[in-house]
Amino acid sequence: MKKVEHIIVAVNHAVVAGLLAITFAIVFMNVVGRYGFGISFSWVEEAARHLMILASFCGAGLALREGRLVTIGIVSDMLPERFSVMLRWAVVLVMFAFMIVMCWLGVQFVQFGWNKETMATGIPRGIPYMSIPIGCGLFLIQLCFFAKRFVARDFEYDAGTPPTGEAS
Amino acid sequence: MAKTLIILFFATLILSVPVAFTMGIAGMVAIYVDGTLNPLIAVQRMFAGIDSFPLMAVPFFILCSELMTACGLTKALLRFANALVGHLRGGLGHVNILVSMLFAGISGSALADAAGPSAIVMRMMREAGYEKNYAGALSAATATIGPIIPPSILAVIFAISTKGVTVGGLFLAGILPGILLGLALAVANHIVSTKYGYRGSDTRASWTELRSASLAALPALVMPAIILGGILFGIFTPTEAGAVASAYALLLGVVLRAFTLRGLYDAFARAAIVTSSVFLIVAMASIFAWLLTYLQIPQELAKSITQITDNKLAILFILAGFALVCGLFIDTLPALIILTPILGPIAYSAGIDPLQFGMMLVLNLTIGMVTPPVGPVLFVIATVGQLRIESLSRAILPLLLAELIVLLLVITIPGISTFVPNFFGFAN
Repeated sequence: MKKVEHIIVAVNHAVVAGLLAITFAIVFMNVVGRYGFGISFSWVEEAARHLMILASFCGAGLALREGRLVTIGIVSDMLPERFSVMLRWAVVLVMFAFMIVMCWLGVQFVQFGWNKETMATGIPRGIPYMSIPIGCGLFLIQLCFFAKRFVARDFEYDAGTPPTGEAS
Repeated sequence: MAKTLIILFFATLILSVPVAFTMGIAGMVAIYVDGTLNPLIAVQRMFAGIDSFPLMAVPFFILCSELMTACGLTKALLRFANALVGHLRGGLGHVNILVSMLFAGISGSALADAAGPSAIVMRMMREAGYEKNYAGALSAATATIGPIIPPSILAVIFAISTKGVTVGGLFLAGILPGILLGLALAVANHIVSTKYGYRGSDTRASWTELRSASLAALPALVMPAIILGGILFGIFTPTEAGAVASAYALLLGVVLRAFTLRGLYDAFARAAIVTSSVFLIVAMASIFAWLLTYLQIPQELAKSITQITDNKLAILFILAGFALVCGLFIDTLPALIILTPILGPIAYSAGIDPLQFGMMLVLNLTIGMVTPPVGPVLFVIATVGQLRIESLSRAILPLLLAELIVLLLVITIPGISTFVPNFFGFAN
């Protein structure tokens, strides 16, 4: 079971890193193309958006593992350990239920967008919409593996990085 | 429906549900309880909330700051700042401030600054005999310059959710407030250092040292020039500027042989995961913000505020006070996404320039990052420096006062935010 978890995490890492690398490459290529060769592609903006959206939803489970989903822990810190643990299990259940609903609605959203086309690339809108059910599904898998450690606040992050997202 | 939305949001927030989920859950349950709206609208808002090319500047600026840090340029910046201001009274304190201002030109985030250069200077200050809580407090305070001086992730998020404000315009709007913030902290540091006898280094850096330090820091100092120059002269969009800056950092790392393949892979993965945690909040907050607008809560609020006063300055003060209180209790990013559509329309209908309002809001909420109970920058500094939050919070008070004075100036003098962007043709 540990091995399966390890593989899923490694693949998940590679997917999000790869998606960011591709997005970076095409956007940079378009700037070089515009000034170096006088060509730019209109599909780049759309592809960049959709790739990053996919990366974002797919990265949610990893953000959970690394403790980057910011919580306000004042109340749970004040509670006695036993109640704090119960509260955190409840949080896991709430997240699980919410993501199941999101996953299910995401599938309906894909069906809803299937016969509409995107502006630049002309693919069915349902394709980029698939980010939502895929990402929520991945999150559910990660949550199943990680729930116990989430409750114990045993997050995995690299040395030197703060325990929250460095984005604000 | 409004009641369900608000009560559920605060209830889940207090019960330590991750912030991103609180907004999604409150929105979703409110939609189901109400029964008149199609739940698919929540998913649609969630997707649309992050389906924006200007927003794609966020991953690139995160990536860029990851790569620059991996290049080891933080040390070069530190040496440069030390050569410039290290000899002044309270020298290392000034170095702390200057490094944060320089680093702010590379990174768009206060937390990246707090965990990076600020944490390093904090250690140096402690070794040099500064009181540990003051060293920590100053490091936390200087980190707040990060989201004010461009590039700024908060500025990107504000700009994409406000009509008529461009990311480039708001970037430029941050330059003067960012410099003012640095100056205000320098004055505060001077006063504290005089009182406690913190001295600078005994000798002033020689010209040779200054020149060599500048040369070493030059690769890092070029970065803001690329980003701002590119946006100013219309060479590329802010998103493209982020990609170009990342490419520059990548090239630099290759030339300086600073990367291993593994390190590079980790930098991309980490940037993607941090982006994910941000975009998740933006996506979920979009559901929440849309519902607030749908329920006409901003209009109701606007009505009750204009009943009290129709004076522009007074309204801005009320909005600033409201944002300040929110910033104390809600994390910066979600607060920004929720408050922008609620408070923005009130400000614009009173004739307040969106650039000024945006700057006020970003600065205001950034100050909230160093105030308890919810002060992410304080937490990082307390963890890194093994300090107690209570002592740190007390030590930061004089510095907080300096920051609030800058906020007051930004509120009362619109030109501080609007002069630079208007000068370069980014008027509304």
